[in-house]
Amino acid sequence: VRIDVDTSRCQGHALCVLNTAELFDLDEAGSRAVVLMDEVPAALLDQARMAVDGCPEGALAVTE
Amino acid sequence: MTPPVFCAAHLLDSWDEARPQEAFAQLTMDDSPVRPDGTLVVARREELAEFLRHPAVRASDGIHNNLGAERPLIPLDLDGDTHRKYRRLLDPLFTPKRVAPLEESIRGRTNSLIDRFEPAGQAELMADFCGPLPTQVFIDLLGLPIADLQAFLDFKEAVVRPQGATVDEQQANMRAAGLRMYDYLADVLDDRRSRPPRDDLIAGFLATELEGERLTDTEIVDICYLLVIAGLDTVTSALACMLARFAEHPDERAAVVADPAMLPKAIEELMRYESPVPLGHRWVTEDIEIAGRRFPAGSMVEVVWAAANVDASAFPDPLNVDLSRARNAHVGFAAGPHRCLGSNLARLELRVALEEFHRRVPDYEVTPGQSISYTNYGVRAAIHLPISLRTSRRSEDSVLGATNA
Repeated sequence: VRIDVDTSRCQGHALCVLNTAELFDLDEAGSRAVVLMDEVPAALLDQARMAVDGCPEGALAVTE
Repeated sequence: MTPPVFCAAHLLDSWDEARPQEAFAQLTMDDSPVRPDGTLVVARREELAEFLRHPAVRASDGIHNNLGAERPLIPLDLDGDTHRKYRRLLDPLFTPKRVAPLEESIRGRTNSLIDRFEPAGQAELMADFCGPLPTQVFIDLLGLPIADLQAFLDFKEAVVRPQGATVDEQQANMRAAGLRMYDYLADVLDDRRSRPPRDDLIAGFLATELEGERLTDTEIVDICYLLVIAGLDTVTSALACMLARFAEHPDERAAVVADPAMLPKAIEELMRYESPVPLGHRWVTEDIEIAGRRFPAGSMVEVVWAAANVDASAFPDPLNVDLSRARNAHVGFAAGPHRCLGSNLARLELRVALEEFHRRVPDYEVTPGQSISYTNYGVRAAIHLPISLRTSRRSEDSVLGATNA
């Protein structure tokens, strides 16, 4: 399972970072989200899905 | 007196100042809501997202400035590349990591305010707590003297709720307050240049470079002007709405008192349900079609965050407050390129304020014989929030505190 950020949609709200700091961060400019892991570990799956559902811009997508 | 109509939802029969959520939800039932003056209204969550992503949608008409400003506010009144340029400068200053070090000073300010009203056993939380706290935090953030607190409170009040019998009078009062703030900020910059640099936001603005050039004083003043307005009343209002909610819902209050770790989610849910900033305006630069609706070039559009946040197609059971709501892609901090710059500072302030408040004051109620009053004009807030502190738990806590100390 992986998560991708659509950087044309992401506006840097950083809700994903607040929810799952192990998995998300902001880029160096502090303006767009980046995913820190290629594969989402099983232990973080639920949180990751919640971050995807909670993104105000619909900028995150899960690929199974 | 009929309240001034500023929002499409105001016109609905279901409008209720204390509980406007039903009217906002009703707006989302309409396929193409329009105000009587012809203003197009965007209320549905999906339509709103698509509308805001469209490159022909702007936050300014290029003529008028928001909130009594003489010049375009940076970055609110700017669009396109110019807007992106300033957001690249400002975004990094308000990330969760950058605002985190403020937590301890926010906690200190919060406790000092509680110290003042706790012995009396009652408080009017707008004046005693929600009003001053965000302004104090902001003064600390900018590195200004706390003695200037009242001047800031007066300024934001004059701009957010301008006095005057007519719209012209209100506009004139708003502009006069704006001019005083420009003068004040210009003096601050002069003063700061003559002193050694410090570690605060104004020092950061003075040292920063944008595309190889220092910011001009005018740019810094325009940025600070926006931060003052955007950062003070909004957090005050959000905090007041949340404390009002907890005052009237003892079960929800008991849950966050028992488990403060619930607060981040609870805050998102109350941001959704209360939507302290109910709407914004956008301008369309060319004919576009969104979700099957036409938006002609040149039209002004009312984008109602508060309605999108209670849209049943995006939020199951939207009029029910569920403090642990799992899927909560609310737009309480707006969305699109102009999403709230300070959302993560606001979240931090709200969390710390609600944590400390409920640690110190776990049990309270609306003062018997009095009631909460709300305004929804401009920003939604519980503008009169009289509470009585119940003392039994408090004395237990202080005994425990003394033992643990």
